[in-house]
Amino acid sequence: MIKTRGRKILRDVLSRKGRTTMVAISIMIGVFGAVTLISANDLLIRQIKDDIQPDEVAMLRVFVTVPTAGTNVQTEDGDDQVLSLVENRRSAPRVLRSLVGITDIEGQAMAPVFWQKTGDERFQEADIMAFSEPFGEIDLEPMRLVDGEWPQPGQHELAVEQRMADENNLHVGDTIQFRPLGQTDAEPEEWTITAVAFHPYWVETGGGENQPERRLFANFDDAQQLAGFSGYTSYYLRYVDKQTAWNNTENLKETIAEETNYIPTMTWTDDPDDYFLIGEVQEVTNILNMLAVVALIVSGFLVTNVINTIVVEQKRQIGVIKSLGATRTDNFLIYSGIALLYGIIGTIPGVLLGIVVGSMMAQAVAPLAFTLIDGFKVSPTGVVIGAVMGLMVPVVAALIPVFNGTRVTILDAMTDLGISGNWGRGPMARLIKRLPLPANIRQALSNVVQKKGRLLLTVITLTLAASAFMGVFAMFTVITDEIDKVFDTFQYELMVIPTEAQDYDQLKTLIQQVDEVAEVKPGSFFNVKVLDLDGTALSVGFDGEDDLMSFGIDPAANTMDLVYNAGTGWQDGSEREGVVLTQPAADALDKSVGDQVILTAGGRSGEFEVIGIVSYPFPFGILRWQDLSQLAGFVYDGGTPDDESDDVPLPLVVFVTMQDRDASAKEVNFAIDDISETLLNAGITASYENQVETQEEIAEQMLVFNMIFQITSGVMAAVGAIGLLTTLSMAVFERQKEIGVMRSIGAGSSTIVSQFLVEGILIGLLAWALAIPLSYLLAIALLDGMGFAEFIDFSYPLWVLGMGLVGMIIVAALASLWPSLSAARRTVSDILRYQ
Amino acid sequence: MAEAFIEIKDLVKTFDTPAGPLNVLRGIDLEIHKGDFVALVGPSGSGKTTFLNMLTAVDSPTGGDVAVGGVPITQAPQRKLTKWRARNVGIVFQFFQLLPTLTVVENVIAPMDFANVWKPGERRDIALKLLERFDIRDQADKTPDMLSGGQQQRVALARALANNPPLVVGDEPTGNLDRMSAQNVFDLFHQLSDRGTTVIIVTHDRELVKGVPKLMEIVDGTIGETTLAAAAARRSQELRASRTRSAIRGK
Amino acid sequence: MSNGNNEQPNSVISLQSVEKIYKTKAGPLRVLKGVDLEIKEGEFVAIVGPSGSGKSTLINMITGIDRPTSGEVFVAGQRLTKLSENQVAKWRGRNVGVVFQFFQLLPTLTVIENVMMPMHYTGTFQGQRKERAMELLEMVDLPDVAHKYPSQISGGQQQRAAIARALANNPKVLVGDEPTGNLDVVSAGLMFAMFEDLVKQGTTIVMVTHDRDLAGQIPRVEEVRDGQLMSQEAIDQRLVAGRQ
Repeated sequence: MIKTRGRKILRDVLSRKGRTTMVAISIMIGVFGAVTLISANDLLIRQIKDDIQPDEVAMLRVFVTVPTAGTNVQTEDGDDQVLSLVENRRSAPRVLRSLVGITDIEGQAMAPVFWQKTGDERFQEADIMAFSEPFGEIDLEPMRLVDGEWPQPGQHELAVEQRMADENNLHVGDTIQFRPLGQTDAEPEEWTITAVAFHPYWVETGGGENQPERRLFANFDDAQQLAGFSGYTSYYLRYVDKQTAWNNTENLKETIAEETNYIPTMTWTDDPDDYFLIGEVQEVTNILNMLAVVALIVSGFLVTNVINTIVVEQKRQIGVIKSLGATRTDNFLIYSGIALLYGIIGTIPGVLLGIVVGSMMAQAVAPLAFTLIDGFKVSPTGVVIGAVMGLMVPVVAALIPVFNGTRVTILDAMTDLGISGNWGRGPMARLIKRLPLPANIRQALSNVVQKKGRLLLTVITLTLAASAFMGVFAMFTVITDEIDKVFDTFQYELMVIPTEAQDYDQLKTLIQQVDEVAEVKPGSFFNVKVLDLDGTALSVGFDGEDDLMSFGIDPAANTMDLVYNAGTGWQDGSEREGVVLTQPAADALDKSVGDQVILTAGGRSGEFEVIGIVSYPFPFGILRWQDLSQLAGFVYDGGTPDDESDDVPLPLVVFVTMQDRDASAKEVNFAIDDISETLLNAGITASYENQVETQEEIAEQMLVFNMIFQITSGVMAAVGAIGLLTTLSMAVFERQKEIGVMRSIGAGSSTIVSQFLVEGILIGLLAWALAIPLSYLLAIALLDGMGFAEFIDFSYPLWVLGMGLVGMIIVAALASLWPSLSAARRTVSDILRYQ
Repeated sequence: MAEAFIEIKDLVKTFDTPAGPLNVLRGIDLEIHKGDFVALVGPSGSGKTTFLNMLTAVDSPTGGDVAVGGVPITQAPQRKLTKWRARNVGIVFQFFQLLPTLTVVENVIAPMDFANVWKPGERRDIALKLLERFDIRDQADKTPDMLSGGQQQRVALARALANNPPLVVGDEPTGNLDRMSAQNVFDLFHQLSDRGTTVIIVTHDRELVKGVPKLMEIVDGTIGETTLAAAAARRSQELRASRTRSAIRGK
Repeated sequence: MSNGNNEQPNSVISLQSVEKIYKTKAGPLRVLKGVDLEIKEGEFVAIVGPSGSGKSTLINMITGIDRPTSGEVFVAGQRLTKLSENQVAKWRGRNVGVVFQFFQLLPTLTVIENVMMPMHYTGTFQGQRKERAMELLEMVDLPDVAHKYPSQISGGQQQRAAIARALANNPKVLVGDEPTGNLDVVSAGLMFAMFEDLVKQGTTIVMVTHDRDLAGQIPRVEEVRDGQLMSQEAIDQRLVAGRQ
């Protein structure tokens, strides 16, 4: 049997449909946001954790290349040099020591190929991958067989990655053709797809991007036939424990460099218990979680406002209820109950919507997290957290106003007649009295300031909403600006990365045969270690790595547009030896122009002077490409072996600028096609990076994130606007008598409306002013959370403030117009009658 | 003599106003017996409402003691007073309106839910019977905004009697009622008084107040028995005196 | 007692066959049932009657705060039923001073600013508003509290300030609904004396009150019962009966 308390709660909520709807919508939006974002996060993380098996994760990945094409990387027995080194353990003790703790090693080979569905016109680029173990026996980061059977060697069979199959509509049994290596008139051979496989693990491709949409698998000899590589391109290792792995990384690299013909280029460690992808996804989604919670809290403030007004409106009723024998607790339960009921009404649709959209969002974002989510999934965590918060936030938000409101004694309630008049004694009143403003503006100011509690709540709601809105805008403006800056630095349209180092002149001649090509420049790309002159290792500390990523360029060519902060570098046209550091690198290493450092890589080292510091968001170093290649060991061992001085450095990459500097991504792709055909005819395989396309893709990716953030901040702005609207409606309702007085002594409708308009705008201005520093802090926090803060020099774009101001004025004007227009319309007798 | 139901000793109430302290009640000694029917008359501002507030424990005195039915309400803590009031005092003031979101019968049931005098199952029946007593039973499921002022007042009266209190206090309890209903109400008060309920009201109704056994007036902060004629005469005199004063002052 | 319909009468207040019906959830409520009333310039009239009789509604017709469902209302030469809500408000500001129990001073303005408000809203007395407001405050014996806020003065003082405000535009008609309701005897007397002075100076004053003693001191008394004005004999009968 519902007793009086329950009845009152139910009836009060149902009788004021407009107000209930507004509060419920606000809570619903907050809950929807929370459930959606938390669900999406949870579903993504769980999917990744399902895919990734900790005992399959490699602790160490070593990426290798060979000095020139055709280098022999096999032992006399025909085994791979590195694998043999590790597995056979027939080596000098010094070597064995560097291999201590290794429990498993497997090799992968990956190279670009050009394929087409039988009958298609154009070839597309893809990566073909082969392994040192037979399919099905791979232990480290294997694929899972989704459909069909693993391909057999020598049968022109291969497997395709699931996402590549989806994107290109390939199935088991389909056939594809490859562009042949070398100049030949032979027909492209047909290969059969015998399997579709899902490869959840990260794979480093030549272009630097993990792209399962262009991944094929074949047995080693078959892959070699198609792509023409000499040996493996990476090795995955597991040790007795991860610490041992991390301790021995350098040793292993040195050993490989010294004992085999491979050149280790890069290493990558990972913690099997904390797969890096999970951390990365979590970084972004944690921020979204945070924003969702903030949205919920903002809607909580609205509840505080509404409940506050209700208890003030119902001061008389509270007195009456007390006179009937209700205790303070009874009243407390009634009004908290109203808050809870609002919560329930808002939470249910919010949760339901959030479940649906959360699943959709997880599916949409999955590719960005390099995973795949199949079908509709529900996240219990998201639902529970969203529901609990949806119910708790209103109740907690209502605590203070309910506590205050139910304190009123029967006597208080009885003697509260007419317009509440307590204004005059405080310092604010005296201050406002002195302001040289027209009387009705001073009145508006006084009204706004009088209800301090209400003012505080409204301002907090609006400020939070405005900060979120402006902060997110600011952050994204800065990020996109930085990204533009980054891309402006690089003055080429495409990059050719030969699978194995080639003779530069030959490469250059071939590429320049292609029409669209304007210039070809050599370059290198390598991670080096930085040491002080006395040998202490210095750390760049970027992305968890100590190494300094380094570019090798031809200083005379304008491959990079460098903006110097200090030093002259190669500006004077010189081609001197030395290293140019970007500002973040210089700061991290604590070096300035003129300092000497030692750079080492793969067993070789050299002393370099810092000849310049340039502006760029990320830390890296720039050297003459010959210096870098030499350091890395990309040399042609001409003449005397073991005599380094007559080695000829080879470029690792080639930068190509097009005739049309404004070429579109598509046009660059055509150029790539032509170049690759030319090179393949010469037996050279390479992968290509379409700089223009990369830029567009990153911009698109940013767009997706941008959209998510804008939606979240839009949600908060909406909640803030609803908050202001509700507050002002309630204020108008409360001040009926005052409006009645004004009308009775001659005020027209326009006077009344303009009064409320002024009040609304005053509140809006105050909130905007407070939001300025907050949004600054929020933008910085977001940048930090996304990992960008270290290298982006954040300066707040002022136009965002202007936009926030305009938006706030519009919101405030609209929110105050509506209730004041309806108040002005009410006749005085309506108001009187209500008394 | 029977023991007094209400004992008031040296009751003093002083208010702090912006214009200085206002002594409304200046040391009242009074006894009211069980079953008395008292009407308090006199002009507004004389302290009638203040006095009633002392009896209902809505307000507390600056000095003195009030005991109702043996309970020293001026000493008791808030929580106990709430419960005491619920079970012992039925209040009908113009301020104590009906709760707008409950129906008529639910309004009458409300005090029962808080006082727990009746068993939950009986409450609705008792409420309906009360409504019938005031001839308003057919409006039982309507909300107050559907009723006229007079009808609402009758519901308020019914509500005041919900827990069968030994004391009923009313400020203009028949203010909005037509002649017949007002007569009805006064008859009911007489009946209650006969049956032992103590009834104390403030009223301006010159007709009906004639039948009330005890008339009292607050003069200069003290209370005493009076007659209608005497009260009216005193009022006119005061009004004339104050106007003369203003005239002399040259306003 | 009524002039012909649709003619401009020579009373300062003229109600002709005024009816007011409210639509409530319980059905239509007839509050005024065909009221005719003529008040000449300079009269001092009390309107009495029990609660719910319609006397407040009647007063609201005179101030334009409410409109009749049918019938005509003429005040100070203006046919109120012809004006829109907005126009009535402005007209009222210039022509009628209102002193209601609930229409108190605006809490966030000082006393003198409150008195200036009607002039502000209707655009009168440009440049002289402050002076005129001070004169009015002196008239009600409140010059020293001019710059205080309403919460800092007593109820009686607030009501006197409200009268000063009501007189700001020198209205022809002053209307009060229970103006002494919240006042102690002394303040009520003061106010009453002020009204008598104003009447001597030509202001027409109509006052609703339930205080019969007060009504007894006012030259003309009209009683409203059940939405209708009672005839004179009926009033006399009741007064006689009341005295017994």
